[in-house]
Amino acid sequence: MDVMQHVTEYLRKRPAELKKLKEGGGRKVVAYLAGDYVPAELIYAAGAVPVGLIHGGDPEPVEAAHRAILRYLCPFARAQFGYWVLKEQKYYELFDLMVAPISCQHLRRVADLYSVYTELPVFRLGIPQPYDGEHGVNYFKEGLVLLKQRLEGLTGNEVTDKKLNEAIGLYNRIRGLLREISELRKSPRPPITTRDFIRLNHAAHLAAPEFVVEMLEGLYRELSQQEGPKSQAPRLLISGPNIAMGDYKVLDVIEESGGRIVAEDIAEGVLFYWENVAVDEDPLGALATRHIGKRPNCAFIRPSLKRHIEFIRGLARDFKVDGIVWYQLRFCETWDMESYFCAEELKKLAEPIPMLKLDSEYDISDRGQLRTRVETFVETLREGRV
Amino acid sequence: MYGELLETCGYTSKEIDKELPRVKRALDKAGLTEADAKRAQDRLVRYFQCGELKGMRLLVGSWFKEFVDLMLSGEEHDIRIYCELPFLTPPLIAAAKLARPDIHTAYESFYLFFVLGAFFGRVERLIEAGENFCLPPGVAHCACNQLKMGVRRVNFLPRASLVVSTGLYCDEAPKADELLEYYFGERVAYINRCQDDEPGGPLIQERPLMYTRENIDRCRRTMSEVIGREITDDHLMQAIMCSEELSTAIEEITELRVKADPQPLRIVPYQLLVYGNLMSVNLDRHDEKMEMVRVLHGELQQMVKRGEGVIEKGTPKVVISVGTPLASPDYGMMIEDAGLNICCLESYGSGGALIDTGERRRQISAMDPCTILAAVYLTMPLVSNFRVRIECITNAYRKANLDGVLMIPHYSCRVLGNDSMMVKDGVKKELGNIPLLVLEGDYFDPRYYTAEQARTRVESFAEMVRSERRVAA
Repeated sequence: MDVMQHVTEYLRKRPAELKKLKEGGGRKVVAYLAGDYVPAELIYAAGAVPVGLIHGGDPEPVEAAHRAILRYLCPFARAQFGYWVLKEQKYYELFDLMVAPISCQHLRRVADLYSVYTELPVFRLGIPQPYDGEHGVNYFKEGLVLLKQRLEGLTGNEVTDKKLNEAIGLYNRIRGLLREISELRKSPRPPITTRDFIRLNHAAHLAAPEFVVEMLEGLYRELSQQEGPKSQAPRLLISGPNIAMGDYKVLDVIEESGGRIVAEDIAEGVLFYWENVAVDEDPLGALATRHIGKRPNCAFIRPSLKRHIEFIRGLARDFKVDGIVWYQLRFCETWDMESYFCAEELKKLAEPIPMLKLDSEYDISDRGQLRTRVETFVETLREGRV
Repeated sequence: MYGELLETCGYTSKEIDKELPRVKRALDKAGLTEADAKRAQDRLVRYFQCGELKGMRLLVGSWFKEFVDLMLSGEEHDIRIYCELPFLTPPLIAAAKLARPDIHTAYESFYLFFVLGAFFGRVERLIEAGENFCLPPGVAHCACNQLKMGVRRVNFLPRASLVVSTGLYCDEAPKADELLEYYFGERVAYINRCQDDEPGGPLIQERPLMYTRENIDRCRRTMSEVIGREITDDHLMQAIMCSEELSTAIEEITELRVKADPQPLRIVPYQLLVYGNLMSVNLDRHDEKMEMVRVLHGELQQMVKRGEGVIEKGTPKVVISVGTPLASPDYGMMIEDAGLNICCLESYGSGGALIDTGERRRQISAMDPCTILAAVYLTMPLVSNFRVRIECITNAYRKANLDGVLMIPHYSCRVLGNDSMMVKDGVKKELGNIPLLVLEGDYFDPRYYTAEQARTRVESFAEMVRSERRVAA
């Protein structure tokens, strides 16, 4: 697909472009940690360049982080610091402010590591527990007010409601297009693989939003006229805390083993595009409602089990899924606990959905073991379908 | 044999006559035999100084009584409110019992870790039951959560009417409580907070304080609903005052230990004393506990006056962060036998057990009880943030004129384990190249990190501390 090559090429040049924007254009770069809790539109409305810190999948940054942290933190969190230690990934060095959503202890610790070992400033955005309820949404909104003030101080630009609503409109367009492309995968012959779809999501966190809109519009026009290859491969949903940019091992193993992923329940996918933000007289309130009040649950939220399983069931139904691959990161305690519950609940359905649980520490030696387990799972599903 | 165990637990003859049938029933329910009782009695003498100190006999007796009540709570009470680790403000639960005295309130996991674990050495089977159920090994799940799942899985205890769950700084514990609700139908009230405070910034700020306060008040309302009585501000204040009274009494023993040389009270019994405040979830025996602290304090003062101790005079003094493994009393003793006097815990550097500096105390005293509890949580040294922990250890080191720092991070704790390298680097930055050892460990599960595994490293560290001390002299 030419578009994917175009995206790859664009992202290759993006760090240099960001450097130029900073040094030549005086723009500030504001990075945010993953999980879809930080509204990039707020950063954009302040005239700064939002950049998602979403890389992972390599063992080296994980290892590099061990100089400052024990290994019992999820590999994604360790990698977020390890990339800074290794100085090989430019996104982790060129930002002027990091916004860290304090969603779980793992991301909280990333914020701490940057505070202790780097000179890079960190803003901590509190995520209330549980999401629902006016109390939590209000707390989050107050956090956004503090973030807005911090961004205004950093950039010297006032974030007006008008600017913020315009930014929301732009990001709504991105989310809307991603959702439309995503839903093409409901077809028996999806015109895009989930691996490519997740890469589009990754691009949306790194590229200029105007570029992303243009690219997605073109891609949607192209894909909506196409059908993918005919296939008897079992249709799978992948669920987990996140799939980092570069962590494609599990996706590759599933495809190589004869499975076909048609939907994802992850932060760099459905959680990002599922809900749009209302264009409102109170844009910060609308952002708070979208990012906290309306979003699907994550495992670290308590209580979350019932709401999460309902969401997974809905996705499984809509995307006509045969099985679920639960992909968690090693030492992510809440996802591990929730996996047990989900597997049980899926078994109880009138038409039970089989689930395979996998975990990874971004270690290259994982691959063989993953492959054996996935092949067996896919084979079982295939036999079930026959 | 049971009678001898109860004597070692400070029961009077009259109490033994009265309580023996209950104790037998409780131990039977817990699957503990006469041989276990003998073993516990030996351990209490060996590790908890119950042979020589009446105060320690009364202290272990307090824990033991709570354990017996817990085991029999299904027969004796219709409403049971349990709190689970890492719950840290006992007055909230105690207030429910003040509002309705016929209910049972318990700090379930702590009673099990200390009594079943440290006293009897028999907690592993419950941890394993949790491991085999839904918190498998290999993911670094905390044993305190594995324990509570295991307890339910094997029907070790009656179901709670309400579990008060603490999500103030840990994600795993409230998640485990959610599983309790799902699998075992126990109602759960969550107390959460957002940990978005800036490390190094003020610990009490209006916005997070009010958010936490609302969580605590919501829990109070849920408890009121469960017990069918209103839990008033007066109940809460009374409970807070009792807890403070006990804390203050314990602090006096802390001060005595820090200064004493030779050391009259080992680290393991001292930790049992410090955590004794957590028994304030039930104020029925408050006077008894105050008497116990008074007796122990008096005995220790006498020992100091006579120049007696259980650790050789002149042994180098260290602070421990956060503590020695709770269910493995041999671990603490091994460190002391290697030649280190663990004269204080990390929290010593905060200047108080619950509410620390005078300024904070003044700030807090002007608040309503739910806000006081919220402020207590937010200012609690161990769980606020890593900068506070660095400050505490540094303060303790300077204030007590110590010779080294020993850190045993609870490996599976994403809060108190994972910041250990940052804390270590921060302490070194403040204090220079002092003797400091980090030993990965497990506070609750005696199976993975044993005293014998650590002995060689601790002995080398002790030698280094002694050598540094000689050089400094």
